[in-house]
Amino acid sequence: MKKILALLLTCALAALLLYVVALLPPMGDADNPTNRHVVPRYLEQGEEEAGTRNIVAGVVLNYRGYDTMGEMAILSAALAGIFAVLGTGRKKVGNAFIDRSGVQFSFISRTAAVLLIPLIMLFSIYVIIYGTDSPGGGFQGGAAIGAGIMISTVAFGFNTAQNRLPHHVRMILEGTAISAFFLVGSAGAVGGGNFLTYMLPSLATQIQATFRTAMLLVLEFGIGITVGVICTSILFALLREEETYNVEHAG
Amino acid sequence: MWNMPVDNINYAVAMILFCIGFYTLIMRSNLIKKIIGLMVMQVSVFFFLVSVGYLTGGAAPTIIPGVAPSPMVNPLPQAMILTAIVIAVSTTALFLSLALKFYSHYGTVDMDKVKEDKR
Repeated sequence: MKKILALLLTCALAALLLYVVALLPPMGDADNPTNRHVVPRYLEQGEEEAGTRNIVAGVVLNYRGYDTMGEMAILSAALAGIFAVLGTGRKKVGNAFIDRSGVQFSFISRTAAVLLIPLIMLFSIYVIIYGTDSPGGGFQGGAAIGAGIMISTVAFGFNTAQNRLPHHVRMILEGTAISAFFLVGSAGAVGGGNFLTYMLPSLATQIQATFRTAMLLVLEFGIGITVGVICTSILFALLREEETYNVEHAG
Repeated sequence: MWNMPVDNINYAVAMILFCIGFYTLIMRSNLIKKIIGLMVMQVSVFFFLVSVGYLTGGAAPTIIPGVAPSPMVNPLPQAMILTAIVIAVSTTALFLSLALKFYSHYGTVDMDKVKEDKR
């Protein structure tokens, strides 16, 4: 009974959504309302106004800088929630199922990790630095950093990875990254402009472009570090909880 | 007006994905499967928004110096989805950690079993 009711509800929802979709303008048409309002300005003047050749990075960092700042606050709030639920694991010695599993960390996987991880880190830093001029940016680079740390966790075990990057170091990194965003944003306000404009009108005009590039780079690194730290912290928190469950129910 | 079957197939697929996720969310009693349903719903919304920004024959929205500008796809949905994906990851991790707590408390992730036990 409940199943039929849910199926009916879902079918009604699907019918409604498909009906609305059928009324939408055709996809990929240059005359669509989504392609006409602010977007031509982003595409035509994005390079001068936002200071980035990659328009997506310009939208993320400059035109919609407030959104990105709020998004970093949301990430920290979610991380705080995870820590509140699962505990922070401040103790030096963590333990997890991955450390006690019967499968030993094999020579092949360890060698592959040793070879891969430096390259992954190098690539992520490249993606972050060139994110303003080519496809890429802080989010993608941060995800690559998190992936590198996940590989090291799989290859060397939870204990080693967590001792390399303990909780307090991660929290300092994340706090620094988020405060850097606020500081860079308010530098514009202090210099006489608006919040998050990356302009210091008191400076000479020749230096402005260089100054803005430096500030955008700081922001990209801040976002990259935040995302990398969040990926790592989520992984460690979930691994650790597995261990506490096993201890509670094995004994 | 009724041009859906050919042009807007991406939109239609996104809506069907959304309904699949919705059905999973409300019908499954397993918490992990509920979370999977929620993720399918999230991904369908991302898919829909990125499709809205598509332009036929458009290039990636990156200006290459020395190359004549060509029509580019809409950068705004891409920037929004970029931030939304990261938020989706962190909120999913929060859901999963709550599910882990649920499991360590009740010994199961099945909500119906917990309800039966209470009776």
